[in-house]
Amino acid sequence: MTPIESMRASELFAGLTAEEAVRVAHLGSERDLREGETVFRLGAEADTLFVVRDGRVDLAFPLVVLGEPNDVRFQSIGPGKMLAWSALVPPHRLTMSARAGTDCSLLAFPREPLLALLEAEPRIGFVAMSNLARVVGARLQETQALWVREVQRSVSKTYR
Amino acid sequence: MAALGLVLGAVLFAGMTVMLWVGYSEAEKAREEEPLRAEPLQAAARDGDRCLLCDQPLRRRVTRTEVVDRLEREIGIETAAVMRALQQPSVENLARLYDA
Repeated sequence: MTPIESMRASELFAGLTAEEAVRVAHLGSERDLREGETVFRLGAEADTLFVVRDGRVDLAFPLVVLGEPNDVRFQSIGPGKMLAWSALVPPHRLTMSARAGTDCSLLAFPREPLLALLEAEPRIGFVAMSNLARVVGARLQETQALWVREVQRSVSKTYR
Repeated sequence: MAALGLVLGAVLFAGMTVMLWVGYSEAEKAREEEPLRAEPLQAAARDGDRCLLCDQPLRRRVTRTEVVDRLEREIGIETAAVMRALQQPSVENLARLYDA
């Protein structure tokens, strides 16, 4: 799959025409990582948006286990998925860490030029932001369900 | 006087004989018990996860890596269950979504 095809198959840029995808692709670059390499750290500025082209990236958050902080993986994402969507949404801070779960290839889009293009090209902007809203909405539903299940467990344990 | 010396000698001899017998018996008893006490130690040597005294399996303290692995596995199972329910949002699936 070419980088343009990878982009058009991705959750963020699905729906763009080939010409529109080429315009976005001009802003991006490919980044290859070895297994275990850090993509980004929690708390860092989200200055780049990534699309996984090949391989798998693990998302992790810090948990204190036996008295020491550890990065605990809670999700692995594969080709077509977007990473660091905080780059498109203020305050542009990363709320988790990511590391390469396998050797992987990412498409990297710097924030400012990408936001400028989305603003200058309303159709590209609309498609990308609609896709972003769908992705964020789905993640919100997942998080809500996970949280409610945890609350349910706590209630069942406390009030037997 | 000679009779008194004879009696004392006999008493001393008898006492020493008793002491020797008791000492020998104790040593013999200890030697007989030795294999019984050695068995748990041998068992422990075979398997480092057993108590040296009672030969019961030790309740080993889990390592941090083991806890993290377990957490990641459990989170993965939980997340997969939620995502499955959300991908097929039928009334039944959504009703089960919050079942823990």
